Amino acid sequence: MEPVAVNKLHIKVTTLSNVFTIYLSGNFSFEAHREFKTAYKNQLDNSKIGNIVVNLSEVEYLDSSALGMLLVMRDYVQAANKTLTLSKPSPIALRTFDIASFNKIFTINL
Amino acid sequence: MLAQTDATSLEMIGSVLISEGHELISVIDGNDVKGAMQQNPDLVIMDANLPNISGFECCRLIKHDENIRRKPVVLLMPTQDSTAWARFAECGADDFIEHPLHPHVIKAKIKLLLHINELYLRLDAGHRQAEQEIRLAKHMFDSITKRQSKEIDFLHFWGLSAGHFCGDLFIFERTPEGHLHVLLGDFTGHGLSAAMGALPVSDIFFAMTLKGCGMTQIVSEINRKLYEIMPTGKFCAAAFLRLEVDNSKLDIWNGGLPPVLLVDRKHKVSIQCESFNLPLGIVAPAEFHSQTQQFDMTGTDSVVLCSDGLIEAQNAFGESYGEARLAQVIGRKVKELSIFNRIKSSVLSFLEGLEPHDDVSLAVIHIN
Repeated sequence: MEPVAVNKLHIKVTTLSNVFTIYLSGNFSFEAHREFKTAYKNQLDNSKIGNIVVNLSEVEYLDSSALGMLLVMRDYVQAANKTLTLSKPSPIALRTFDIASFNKIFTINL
Repeated sequence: MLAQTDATSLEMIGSVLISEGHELISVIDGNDVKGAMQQNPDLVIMDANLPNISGFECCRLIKHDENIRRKPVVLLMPTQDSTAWARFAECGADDFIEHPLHPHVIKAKIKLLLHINELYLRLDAGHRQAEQEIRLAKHMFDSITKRQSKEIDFLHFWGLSAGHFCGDLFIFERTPEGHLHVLLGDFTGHGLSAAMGALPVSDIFFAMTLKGCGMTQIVSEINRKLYEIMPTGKFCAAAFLRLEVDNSKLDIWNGGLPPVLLVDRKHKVSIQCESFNLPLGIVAPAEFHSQTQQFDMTGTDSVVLCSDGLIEAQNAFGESYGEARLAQVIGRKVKELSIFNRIKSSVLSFLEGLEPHDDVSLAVIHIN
């Protein structure tokens, strides 16, 4: 077997009605923090958007800095009076959220 | 420093340099380049073909010398020599100039290279600063663990760092009545940012334990403190254990660490104490609920705690160590090896010398 290269984080965004969805795939860790912030930053002031969804179905790796980034995002989204949903977490993301009891402070849609 | 044999080139480049306000160190022989470097030039412009030692070779030597490899080197390349480019590519030069020489081109090159030099200097300064901060963080971290009153022989801790030092905190202390408090903490971030959280956490832990405070109180106070001082997104995943003085009962508060494992005499994992709490420092005191679980210790031989760095440690093939493997290793009784050593050597052989992405820490409490 060949050693596996470390994946980057790939981000794709879509808007449907008043929902802005960020699709994440690959490694969600500290290196991606600027890119991740850029993905949602502009929607905070967008009055046409009321809900921001982060889809984690293709996340292969997630560490505590990813949790940190989500916490920061949550602060911003709450301040902008919008809702934030974590949607379809991959098994590894779900396990991480479970251990961190993130369901206590995030809406997680399986 | 200008190393040129051709008088015309020497004069043209030299006059541009002087008109730009630079001091000139002239060299016409490859043998003299080394000596000229000791005068600490800011920029090196060399003819690729010099007598005795070629410009390519001089450049290679400069770039392999730890002390001077950051000096920008530009080579004056020969015309109509296609083999020269292969040598250019592997000698490490920063840039090139070709004939025919034009003063404005030379000026532009010089400007560019001095800019690169400045970037290198700033990079070096940044590295030095980062290293200083890491040394400071390590010093502070070590000073925390030195506060342990004394070693407790049935507590074992192992940390493997993803970087300069392991930022996972393992501290323990007995209350005045003799109950044992143990805390394993995994801070977001590394180095200085981890050490900064560790200081207030350990201060509170030791002060309140020695005063005889209960674990719920201590955990709540640590949460309050971290919530107050840490920015959003920074927190401490931790497990706090309280072992009754007679070893009969164990209370566990787990917020964000992998399940704490209770292992019986047959080395089977009898209970997994999952995390039901948010890590410390995320929510305000009003929203902080400390859920502890209590376990009867009859039948329990050892307690195993680890940070997620251990569970998520990846080998060269991208496989994670995993919770299943950990349970397996615990269950596989090996005569001379304690559970602690078994897990430790299993993780090390799994990694095969690879540095983990995240600090790995393991703590085992041997109850009897």
